[in-house]
Amino acid sequence: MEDRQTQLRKGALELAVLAILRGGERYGAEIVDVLASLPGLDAAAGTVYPVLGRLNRSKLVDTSWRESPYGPPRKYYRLSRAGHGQLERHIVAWRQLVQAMESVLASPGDADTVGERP
Amino acid sequence: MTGHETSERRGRMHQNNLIDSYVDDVDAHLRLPRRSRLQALADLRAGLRAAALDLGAEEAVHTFGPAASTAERLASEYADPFHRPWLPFGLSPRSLGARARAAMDPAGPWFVPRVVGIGWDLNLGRLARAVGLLGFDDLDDEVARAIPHDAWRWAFVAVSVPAGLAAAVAASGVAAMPLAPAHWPLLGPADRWAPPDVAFAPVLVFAAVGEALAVVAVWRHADLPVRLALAGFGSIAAVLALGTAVTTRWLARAPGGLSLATLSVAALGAASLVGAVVRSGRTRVRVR
Repeated sequence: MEDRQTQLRKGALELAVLAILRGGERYGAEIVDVLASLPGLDAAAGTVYPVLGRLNRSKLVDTSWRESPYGPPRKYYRLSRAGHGQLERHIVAWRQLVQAMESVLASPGDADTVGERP
Repeated sequence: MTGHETSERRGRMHQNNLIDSYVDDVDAHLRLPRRSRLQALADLRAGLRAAALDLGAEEAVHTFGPAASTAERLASEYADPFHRPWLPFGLSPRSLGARARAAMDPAGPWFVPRVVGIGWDLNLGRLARAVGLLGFDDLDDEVARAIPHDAWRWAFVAVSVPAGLAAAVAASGVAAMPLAPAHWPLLGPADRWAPPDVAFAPVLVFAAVGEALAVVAVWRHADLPVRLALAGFGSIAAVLALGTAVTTRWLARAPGGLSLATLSVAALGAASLVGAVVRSGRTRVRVR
């Protein structure tokens, strides 16, 4: 059961990271902090950084190093043009999925009533 | 048996043949571990039979689509991301890069399937992060480009010194010892002795492997995690060679458990080496 929930969250995490970067560039620990403050996502550094790495490899985010006031330079992430497009598509797909699932979960179990509008 | 029953039975056999042949086609395209593959194919067969009751086998097979697409769908549906083989092994050159990257992943687990062979390797990236020598996202192309070639040369020296010392100690042992210790129990002194060239052979093998890995790390321009993994494991092999040489030459009475201490020193040394190489790039990376 735990594995299934992890899988559910994993699918959402990429969209969450892209959405956070829509507001402007951020460094890794900042993104982790934002996600870790949302208990439903159960995101820790060990899960967020691999997602950032994947997004970077697929050119959905760009990175740059910047001086930090507290130590060594930090790597900042920002959405690339492809990342913006991907985010928009993800949002549409996510909303459709949520709507469909809400409809399925709200129905009393009779297949004929799923998708019916009141 | 009436003619009607016979023709019904033939019809059922024909339907089953169609379904079996489709499942075989899917199987030919399906890339899954054995257990998941068998489950996926059993479910597919059951699904097709159920659909065939409503639609007939031909239409059911048609509805399920081309075998290759069905195999692709099943592969993603039945792939278990949490599946860990009981004892991982890898010898395929195709997986070497991926395994080396996993062994140098600061965000990965502590132990990962061995780069070459059976079992698990320590994830050096995880260790380097745990001791504060590496950040989660330090290993990128910009850092790789910023690492000066001198840093790689120093890494080579850092591997070559213990490897060279190990070879020298082994050579002196072979020249001076009539018999050398060849095996230790965990908690006691050496319990088996052998001619020195036999006893020191593992030292030379470790030293040679360490040197070879370091050479590839320094002069082959693979991506950064792979180069670091090569340098790191080269360093571990060289330090193990030195530890084994010193133990074989002078510490026959020491307990075999000492090798665990050598292994810990070797792992920390490798993590420090990797951290130093990455730091040399991180301090030079173009900051905006």
